[in-house]
Amino acid sequence: MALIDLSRKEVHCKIVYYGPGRGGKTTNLLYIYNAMNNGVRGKMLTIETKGDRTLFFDLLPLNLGKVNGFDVRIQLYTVPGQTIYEATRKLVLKGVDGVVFVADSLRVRREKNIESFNDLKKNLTEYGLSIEEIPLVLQYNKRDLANSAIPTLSVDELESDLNNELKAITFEATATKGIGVFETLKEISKNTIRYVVKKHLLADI
Amino acid sequence: MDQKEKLNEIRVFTEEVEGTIDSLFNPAKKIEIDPVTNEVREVMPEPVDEEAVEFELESAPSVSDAPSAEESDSVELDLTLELESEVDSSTETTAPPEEWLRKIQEHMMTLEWEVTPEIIENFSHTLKEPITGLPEDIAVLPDLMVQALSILRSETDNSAGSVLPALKLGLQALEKYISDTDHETKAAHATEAAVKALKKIVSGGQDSRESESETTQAQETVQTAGAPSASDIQDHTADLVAGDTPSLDLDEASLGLTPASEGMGAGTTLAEDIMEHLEVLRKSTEKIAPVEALLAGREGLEKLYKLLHGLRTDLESERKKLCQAVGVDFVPVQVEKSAVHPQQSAPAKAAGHESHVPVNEGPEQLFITHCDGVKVAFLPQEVCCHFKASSKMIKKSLKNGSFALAQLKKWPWSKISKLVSGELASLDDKALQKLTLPVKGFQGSEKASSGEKRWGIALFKNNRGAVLFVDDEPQLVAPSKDSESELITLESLSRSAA
Repeated sequence: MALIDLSRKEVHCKIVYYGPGRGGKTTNLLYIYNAMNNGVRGKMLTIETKGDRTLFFDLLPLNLGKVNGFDVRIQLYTVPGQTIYEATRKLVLKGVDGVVFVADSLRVRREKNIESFNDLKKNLTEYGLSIEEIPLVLQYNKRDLANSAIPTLSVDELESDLNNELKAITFEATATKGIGVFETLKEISKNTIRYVVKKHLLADI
Repeated sequence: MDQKEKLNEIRVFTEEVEGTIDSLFNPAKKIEIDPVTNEVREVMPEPVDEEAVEFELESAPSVSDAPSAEESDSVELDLTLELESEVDSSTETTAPPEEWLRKIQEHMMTLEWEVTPEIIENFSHTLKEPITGLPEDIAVLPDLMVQALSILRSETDNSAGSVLPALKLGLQALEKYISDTDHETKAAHATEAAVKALKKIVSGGQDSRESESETTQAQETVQTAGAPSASDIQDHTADLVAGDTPSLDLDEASLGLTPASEGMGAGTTLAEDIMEHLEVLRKSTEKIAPVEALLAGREGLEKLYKLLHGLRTDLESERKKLCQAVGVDFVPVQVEKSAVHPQQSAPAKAAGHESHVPVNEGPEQLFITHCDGVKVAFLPQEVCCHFKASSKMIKKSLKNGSFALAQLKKWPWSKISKLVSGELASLDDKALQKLTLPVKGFQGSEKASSGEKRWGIALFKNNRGAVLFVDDEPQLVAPSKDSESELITLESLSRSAA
């Protein structure tokens, strides 16, 4: 849940990177953490699994500093993508203000993408949120593989599977090389700030 | 503050936050993340690469109202098209090795992630592409890899464990040759190892476990090929380990510790670890030994004794092997000789049971003599004294069924304590003068009436004693194979009496 403390002039938002296992959620955060200036990003909290899957979650706090007298902070979370970690995913999603859905472009992961997306919808609903309402950015990761012999999904197929009705903003990405990573981050951050301000400040007017 | 003012303030705030996001959320440096290990490496700025331009175009947001990540224009699009057509035309004849290798690397990664017929098919297809400039010994690799893939396709469940490492070896050898031309000798080694592993898979004659183990060994060889040589690591490690464990250094090399610094550090740690393990093994063996000794000779605990004895000997044997492997002197743990269980080591003649003193496992020395013409042995730790016995003394003792130690005195003023050893020697003379020991016979007390004996032997241990009369003077000798004798102990005598 976003925190807007007018007395202390603080705005805190929570963005969750959601998606199937091995899709590149942690890689997104790792890229941001390693490529960004030290002054902006905080310490990344992660359970080191030597390239293996996320066991619990990753957390990367970002600090925008003082904006118009407000201390603005954004916390980036990832969820463990594997199906068995359903409870953890739901827990991490609690109080979410914005979601990046990282879809895997590998053709073999097509079903997993859809399954994870439906899982996201279901979990949001259980928290009284709607996927149509919450800020959402879709990231189609591993697009570099589209130029290789590895069978990949086309952007049209990904759109048809995940974004047919929502028409959310999408980015093609190769998280390992940072392509599309910051574009995704900027977009979801702006959308989330707008959403939070609208929801919490405008509602009071 | 009125509503309009408040709305305006919120709008300004939102715009300022968005502006801050735009200015702050940018990469300060270019990095790449290894998709397998998550290892981060910094990428040095390179001159403009056409392929990158092509990809950047594709990575632009697909929704028109999204902020554009990259700019595009028609000139670059033309360039992309030209590049694609170039690649296509070259593939028809022969693909450049680097491009071909990149595809194989991708196939390998996909295959490691998931094994499907489709992936295998694509992999095989790429391997079959004609490649320029591969020498004959390297050129055999793609063929072998294709064959290995066909085995993988036919028996996915059973063969994946051994085929994948072999394929990886093949890939590593190709990488060595194509991208590391300065190390042709090392590439040759890598190729040899890969060909060997792949041939094993293709021949299919080997047991899968054996094949896996050999593949692993070969993989280590390939890794070592690109790393400092075994002798390099050995030299560095020897300095650190102070030359104590020369044979250990070779093992480190075979462990595939690639960077020299890592090799050195790990070498020291490995040596320390092994020495630590050896110490733990020694201490464990030492702890077992007294318990084993305690159980020895205890009736009803033979199985437990056997178990501990086996455990100790196994540990000792493993410790010995390890010591030999690392070039450290092996010092066996000393086990009390009495720890040898009579029933196991000295298949003791427990008075009345046929048994023989074992040669290798028994005590180092025994008192040997004859009793009724039969060669008998006594444990030195039980023998307190032996003495020449007159027929009068024998008769008297046999009549009473006991032997008074006072009879040992040759003169009224001589001291008995000087004539005895072992536990009896610790008693004072007065106590010894009053002490009488039961007289026992060889096959039991009923046969102790023979008056032919000339020597007496007194046994005493743990407040239990006996005197036997024997044919000749007991001699302390080391038991030998060709002089087996029947062992008489206090234990066997008491069992016999019972």
